[in-house]
Amino acid sequence: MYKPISILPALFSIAAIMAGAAPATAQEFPERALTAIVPFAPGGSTDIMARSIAAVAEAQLKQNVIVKNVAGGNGSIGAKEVQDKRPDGYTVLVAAENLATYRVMGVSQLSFADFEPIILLAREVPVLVTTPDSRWKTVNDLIKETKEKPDQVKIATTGPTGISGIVATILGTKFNMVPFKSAGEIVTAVLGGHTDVATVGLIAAADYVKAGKLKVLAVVDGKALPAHPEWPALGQVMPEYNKQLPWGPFYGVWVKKGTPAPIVAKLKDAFSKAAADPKFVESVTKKEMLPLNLMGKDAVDYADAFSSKTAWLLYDGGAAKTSPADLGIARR
Amino acid sequence: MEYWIYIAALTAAGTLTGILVGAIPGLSATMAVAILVSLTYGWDVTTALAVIMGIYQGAVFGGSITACLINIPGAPSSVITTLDGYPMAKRGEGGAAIGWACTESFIGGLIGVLALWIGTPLIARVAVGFAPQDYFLLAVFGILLVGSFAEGSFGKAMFTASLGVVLGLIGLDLITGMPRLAFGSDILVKGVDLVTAILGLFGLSEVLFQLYQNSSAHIIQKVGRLFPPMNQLIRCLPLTLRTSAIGILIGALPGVGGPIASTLAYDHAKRTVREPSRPFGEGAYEGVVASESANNAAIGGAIIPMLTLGIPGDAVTAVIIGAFQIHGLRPGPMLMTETPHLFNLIVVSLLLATFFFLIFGFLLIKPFIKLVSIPQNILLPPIIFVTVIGAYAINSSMLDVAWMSFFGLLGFVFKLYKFPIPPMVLGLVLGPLIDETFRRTMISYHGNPIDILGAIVASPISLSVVALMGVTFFLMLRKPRNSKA
Amino acid sequence: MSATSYKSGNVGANIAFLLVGVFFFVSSFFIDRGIYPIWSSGMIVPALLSAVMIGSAAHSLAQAIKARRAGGAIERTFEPRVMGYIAAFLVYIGALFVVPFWLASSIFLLFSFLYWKSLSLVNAIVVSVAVVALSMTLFAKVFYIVF
Repeated sequence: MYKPISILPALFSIAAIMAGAAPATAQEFPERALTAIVPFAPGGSTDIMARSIAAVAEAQLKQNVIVKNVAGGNGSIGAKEVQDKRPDGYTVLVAAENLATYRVMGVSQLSFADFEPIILLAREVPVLVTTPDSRWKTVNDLIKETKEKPDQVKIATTGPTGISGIVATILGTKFNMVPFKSAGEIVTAVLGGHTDVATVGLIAAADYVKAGKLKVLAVVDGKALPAHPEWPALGQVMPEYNKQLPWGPFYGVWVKKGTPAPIVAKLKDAFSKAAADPKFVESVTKKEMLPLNLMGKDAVDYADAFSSKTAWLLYDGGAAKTSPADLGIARR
Repeated sequence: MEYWIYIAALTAAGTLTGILVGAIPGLSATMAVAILVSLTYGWDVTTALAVIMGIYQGAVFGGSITACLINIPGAPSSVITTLDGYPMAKRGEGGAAIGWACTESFIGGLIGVLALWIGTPLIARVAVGFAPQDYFLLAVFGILLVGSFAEGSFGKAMFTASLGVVLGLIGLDLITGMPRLAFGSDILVKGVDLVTAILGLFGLSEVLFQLYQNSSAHIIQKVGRLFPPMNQLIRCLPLTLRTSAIGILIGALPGVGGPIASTLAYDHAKRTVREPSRPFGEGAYEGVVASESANNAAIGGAIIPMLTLGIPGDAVTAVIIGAFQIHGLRPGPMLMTETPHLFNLIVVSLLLATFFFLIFGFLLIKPFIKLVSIPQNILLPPIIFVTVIGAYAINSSMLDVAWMSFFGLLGFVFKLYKFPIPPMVLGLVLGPLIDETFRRTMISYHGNPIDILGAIVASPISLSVVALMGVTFFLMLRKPRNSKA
Repeated sequence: MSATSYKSGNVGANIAFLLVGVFFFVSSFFIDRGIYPIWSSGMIVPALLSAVMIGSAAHSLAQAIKARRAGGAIERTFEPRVMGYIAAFLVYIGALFVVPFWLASSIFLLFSFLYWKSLSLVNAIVVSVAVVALSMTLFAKVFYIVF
C-alpha cells in the first residue's frame, strides 16, 4: 500500500523547507514566498484588503504572497504572531487601526510602535445612518434629542472600540450603545428597527442607501465626499467637531521593527507600485474607501496621531480603564 | 449549453474537494473557500462561485464520513451525526451509516436549495425581524436541549454543558472590548477555537479511551447494502421534511449555522419519532436523518441573508461575501436586481452539487470502509497524529495543538466517569451566543424586565419562539417515548 | 488488573470537577465590567453557569458517595501501560514546540506501533514515515501551509 520510494522526494522537500533558507541579503530578497498575516477572520474588510493587495504585490515581488488569517483578540493574536517571527521581511502584517486600542484596553502590550509601516493603503469614511422614516431630518436634530433625553436613543455599535462606539464618543452625547458583532449585524439591527441609528464604514451602508432603505444623516468627516456631495459632512454642519476629525478605520501593511532597512526599502517599493496598480485602485474605489498611500515618516505620524486621538477618546468615554498618560501617550 | 457543462464540471471538482476537505478533521469548508478566494482572484466571478458552492455542499456532507466511522466529526456541523452514526459503525453498519448520511444530506440539500429559490424574499424578511431578545430565547432554548444528550445523568450533562459555556467565554469580551477570564495571558485572549475543541473532545479522547478499554474486538464492517432501503426512506420522509425546515430557518439566521440547526433537529427527532428503528444514541437511523438533513438544508438557508442583506448566515458565507467583494460585487439589497444571473448561477450550482455529492459519496464509501477496517492497534496511532496535524492546520499554530491535547485529556477523563461530551460542544457553541444576546437585550432595554416582556409580547417572532419552547417543554415533561427499556 | 495499577473512584473525579466550578465562580467576580452596569456585564453568564457547574458536580458527587456506600461505584483502574502511553503523548506534544514537526511525529508514531506491538520494526518505520510524509505533503502542498 505504501511505497517508500515515492515518499523520499517528499521528505527531502520537507527537510529543505525545515532547514530554512539562510538569512537573505537584500540583493536577493525575496527568494521565497512571503506570508501576509491578516489578524482577522476571512471575509472581513482587512482580509479583503490583504487579498487584493497580495494579488498585485506578487507580480512586483516575483514571489507568492500567502495570505494567512490569524484571527482572535481583536487582531492582537495575529499581530503577536508577526512579532514572534524573525524580522526578515518574509512575514508582513496587513492590519487595520485596531493596534491603537490594545494597550489602553488591556488586550495586549503591542502598538503601532512595535511595527514599521511599509505603506498605509486606504481609509474608510464612517457614515451615520438611520431609516428613511426616522424622526430626525438632520444630524443636528439627533444630537439635540440625545442631549434632551440622554440614554434613550439606541445606537448600534461593534463594542466600544469599534467605529460606532468611538463616533458616539466623538459626538459626546449620551446614546444607549447596543453592541453587536459586525457591521453587517449593525445594519440589520437598524433595518429591523431594533436600534435607532448606527455608524458604519460607507461600504456597509452604501447599497442600502441606494435602495432607499437607509438614510445618511452625516458623513463623519471634515468635508463631504466627492462621490456623494449630497450627504452633509459632520465637520461642515457642526464645526465644533472638527478638532476630532477625520477619524476612521485605515488599512496598511507593516513589518516587525528591526527589519533591515534595505529589505524594508524593497518592500516599500513593491507595495507602493502594487498600490498604484489600476486593478487595486479600482478595488479601493469600489469599496468606497479613500486612498492614503502614506509611507515612511508620514505613515508613522498618521498612525501616531490616530493612536493618541483614539486612546484618549476611549479613556474619556469610560471604555478604557488604563489612562493613555500612564502609557506615555500624549493628548494631541 | 456549453457554458452550463463548464459550470457543472467546476461544481463537480468543487464538490469532490469539499467532500475530502470535510472528511479530514481540522480542514474546514471555511478554510478551503478562503484559500480558493485567493486562488480565483484572477478568475471570472461565475466560475469561482461554481467551485465555491460545490465545496460548500460537499464539505457539509463530508464531515459526516469520519463522524460515522471513527467518531471524529470532520466539521462542527457533523458533531450531532456522531450520536447515532458512530453506534451504527460499531454494529458493523458503517457503510450503511454513510449511505444514510449521504442520502439524507442530498434530500436536505435539495429542500434547502428549493427554499432559497422560492422563499428568499420571505425568509429574508423574517430574519431581519429577529431582535436581540429573540436570539436570546433561541439560544436558551438550545442550551436546554442538553437533556437530549444526557446519557444517564442529567446533572453530569449540565456540568459539561456549563463548563463548555464558561470555556467558550474565555477571550476577548466583544461587548466591553476587554479580555475576560484570560488571567492576564496574551494567549488566552484568543479564546477557545471550536474546531480544536472538537478534535480533542471527540478524536483524541476517543482514541485514548479505546486504548484504555483495550477493545481488541475487531469490528467487521458490512459492505453489502449501502443505500438505505426504500421503505425506510419513505418512513423517514416526514421527519426529513420537518428537520430540513428547521435547518433552513436556523441557517437563515445570521450567525447561527449548521451545528445549531442539527442540534435542534436531533432534539426534534428524539421528541417526535414514536418508534425509532433503534433507541436514539444506539444507532437509530432517525438520528442520522435529522442531523444530516438539517445541516445540508442550512446551506440554502445561510445563503439567503448573504444574498439579500449582505450578512453572513455562517462562517462559510462570510468568506463567500469576501469573494463577492474581491470581484467587485456587493451582496445586499441591490445584488438581486442588478445581477440576477448570479442568483441563478448560485441556485444551479448548489443544485448540481447535491447530485454530485450523492454520486461521489456512494463511490467513496467502500475506500473509506477499507481504511477503517485496518486493525485498531495500527489505525489508532495515526488517528492521534491526524488530530495533531489537524489542530495545527487550523491556524498553523502549535498553541492549537496544545489546546487540542488539553481537550483530548479532558474528554478522556469525562468518558472514564461517564460525563457526556456532546453537551460540552453545545455549550461551547451556544455560550457566547447566550452571553452576547442576553447582554444586548439588557442594554437595549436598560435592564428593565417589564420593557423586555413588553417587547416579546408585541412581536410575532418572539411569540413564535416562546410557543416553540412551550411545546418542547410540554413534550419534555411527558414520558419520553423513545426509551422503552 | 495488575497489582501496580492505580485506582480512582468517581468520588475523586467529582470533587475535582466541583473545584473547577468553584474556580470559575470565583474568577467570574474579577471580570471587568467596562462601561456597562452590573446587570449587563460580562460577569452574569459565567457566574451563573459556574454556579450551575458547582450544583451539578455536587449533585453528581452525592450520587457517587451514595453509590460507593451501596457498593456500586465506578472504580476506574489505570494500568501503567495506558498511563505510560498518555505520558509519552504529552512528551510528544511538548517536543513539538522544540523539535521539527515531522521528526517528532515520525518518532511518536514509530514508538506507538512498537509500544502496542502492532507492527514489526521495519514495517513500523515504513508506515510511520509514510503516514507523516503523506499527510504533511497533503496539508502543505494542497493547503499552502508551510511547516
